[in-house]
Amino acid sequence: MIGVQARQDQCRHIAFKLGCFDIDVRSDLPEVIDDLGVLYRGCKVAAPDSTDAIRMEVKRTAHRLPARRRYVVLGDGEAFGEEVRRCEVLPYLEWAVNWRLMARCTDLLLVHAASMARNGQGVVFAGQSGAGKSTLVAGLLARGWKYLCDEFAMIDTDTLRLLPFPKAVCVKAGAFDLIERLNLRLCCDRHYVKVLKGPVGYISLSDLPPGAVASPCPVRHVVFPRYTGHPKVRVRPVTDARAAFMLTSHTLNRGVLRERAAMTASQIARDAQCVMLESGDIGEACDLVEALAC
Amino acid sequence: MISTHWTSRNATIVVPPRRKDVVVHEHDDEVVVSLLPDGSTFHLNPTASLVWQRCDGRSTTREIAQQLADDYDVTFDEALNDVEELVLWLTETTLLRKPDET
Repeated sequence: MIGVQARQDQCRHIAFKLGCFDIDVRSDLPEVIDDLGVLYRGCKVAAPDSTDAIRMEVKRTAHRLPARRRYVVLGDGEAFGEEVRRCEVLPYLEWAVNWRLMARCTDLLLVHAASMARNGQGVVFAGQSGAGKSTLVAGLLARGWKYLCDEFAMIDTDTLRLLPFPKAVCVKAGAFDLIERLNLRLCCDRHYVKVLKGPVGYISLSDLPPGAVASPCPVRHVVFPRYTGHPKVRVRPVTDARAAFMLTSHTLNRGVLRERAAMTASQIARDAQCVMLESGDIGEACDLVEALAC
Repeated sequence: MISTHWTSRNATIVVPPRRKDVVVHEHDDEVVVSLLPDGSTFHLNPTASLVWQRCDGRSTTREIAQQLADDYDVTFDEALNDVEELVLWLTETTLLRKPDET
């Protein structure tokens, strides 16, 4: 076990509810609690409702030199990944919450995707990192679409409905100018770095108009975005089988769900319109998504 | 073991049967196959679906190729090439049963 020193006088606590999940965070790094308090100020609870809360901890490792101090993130008592620097803690903590969700969810399909809704109809944007999912989320939020999540399509395997998990939208530094042009606000002035992705910022749902979070809804469209950097936008239909396979491939907890992952993905693909969207311009991409969803 | 250099043009090769511990999701003329042990998933396009579904432990590559040639209006040689490549891929991805499996 890594040498860990918890200082009781600095350990602080926050609890909040995202969708149907209670999240409880204790941290030796007070700014993490402060920032979570700002990002999730509309979701805070005094104490988790359920004993099944996802329990996260941030613990400072012992080091003589303050500049060399690192932090360990634990989820439900288990250490997650490596020690990280101070500026990496918040994004790493969010990643660890995702990890705990993947381990726990045996009746939810967690697809690596963004999910949004319009008029009670859900759209899943499934793709690898860098495909433009969070940028599409920001663009559609600015157009009044309702938000479910920017990292998961959380699908109930029984009802096949998309469920909200309204975590703060995480955007990479390359999209900061776009966020400003869309009149969306990046929360907190602190500098964050996400391991493997570089500098990131957050849009808090509490900064959006009331009602910005969608209710559970059916999946009507599945979009596989691909950022090409080219201004021309192209949409191509995807066969049900291909869409089912791609959704399954992007399912983060398929090791837990096993054959149910492909079964649920197949049902979703049959019921939804599935397309590949290639674009380099966010405005045109959003125009096209809105046209699809009409 | 099937090597990349084999061809059944002048021989009779019986293809191995499909493995049984799979779940098959059919979508028109394509299928998504999910392996029960670990949930690994494969997408078979119409041609691959047809070939895989003919892998019954009795059919030969030449018989399957003849059906492909008839259904898709391609030459027998082109169809046989496709069948051989697909059988090789299906074997490598373990969608076909190994010879010692029952």
